Amino acid sequence: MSNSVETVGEVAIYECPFESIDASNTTDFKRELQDGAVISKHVLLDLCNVQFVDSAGLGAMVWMFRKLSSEGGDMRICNVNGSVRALFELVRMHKLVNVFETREEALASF
Amino acid sequence: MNPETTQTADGVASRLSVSSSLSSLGVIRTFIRNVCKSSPLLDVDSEIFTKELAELELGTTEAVSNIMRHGFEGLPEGPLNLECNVKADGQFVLNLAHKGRYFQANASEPSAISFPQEGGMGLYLISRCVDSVNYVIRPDGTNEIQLKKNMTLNRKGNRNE
Repeated sequence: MSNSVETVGEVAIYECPFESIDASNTTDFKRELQDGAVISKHVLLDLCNVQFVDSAGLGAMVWMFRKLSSEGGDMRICNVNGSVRALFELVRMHKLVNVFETREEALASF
Repeated sequence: MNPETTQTADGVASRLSVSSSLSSLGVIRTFIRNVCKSSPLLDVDSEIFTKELAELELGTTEAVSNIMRHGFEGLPEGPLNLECNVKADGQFVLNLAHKGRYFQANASEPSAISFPQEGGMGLYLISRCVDSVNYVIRPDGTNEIQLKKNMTLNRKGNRNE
């Protein structure tokens, strides 16, 4: 189990420890994200440490969101920096996943 | 993996050679960042520079990932040689040379209607992050992908003056 997962109520919070999520570490990222999904169907992905995401990282987030949704769960995202937010807007990530400024706002939304 | 720099007619060219492994992606982004941040032509403290650099890092990452996954698919790792410079007009030019397999991504702009999705977003992101992409085979068989991006010039004057 990843040390990066904690729970608040029914929500599993995964604070991604990677500075970048790209094609070189997507497998590790997906595995750790899935550790959160094992604990709860309601997952909050906290990107406070993440400076860079590429299409492989985005794809992993979409995969997890769809997996949880198909099981009656949900995934939300918080603490996104400016360049990652610009990337989210380019691929219209906000149409799929709710993105929040802070962890507190995200937790309150579940 | 230490970068080298040489003076050319277009300014200073920086070169880096890495292995065609996905683990090189972070090193490549650092290289691109350092080249841009050391250019006296660009206003590294401006918001537009931050935005353009982020686009450049993303476009480069997607192009290099394609080389590693398609150019070297089924082949042993080989060298990937990068050469880049910032020209006097602010155009950033990056050449990615390798001896893996030749491939050319579909030149037509991918549709973003179905985004976001689990895969197939890389080419779209490249098209949004850089101004042009060219695929070339050199006479010696080396495959080269050239990315160009017009960066906003430093209007406060040359930082080295």
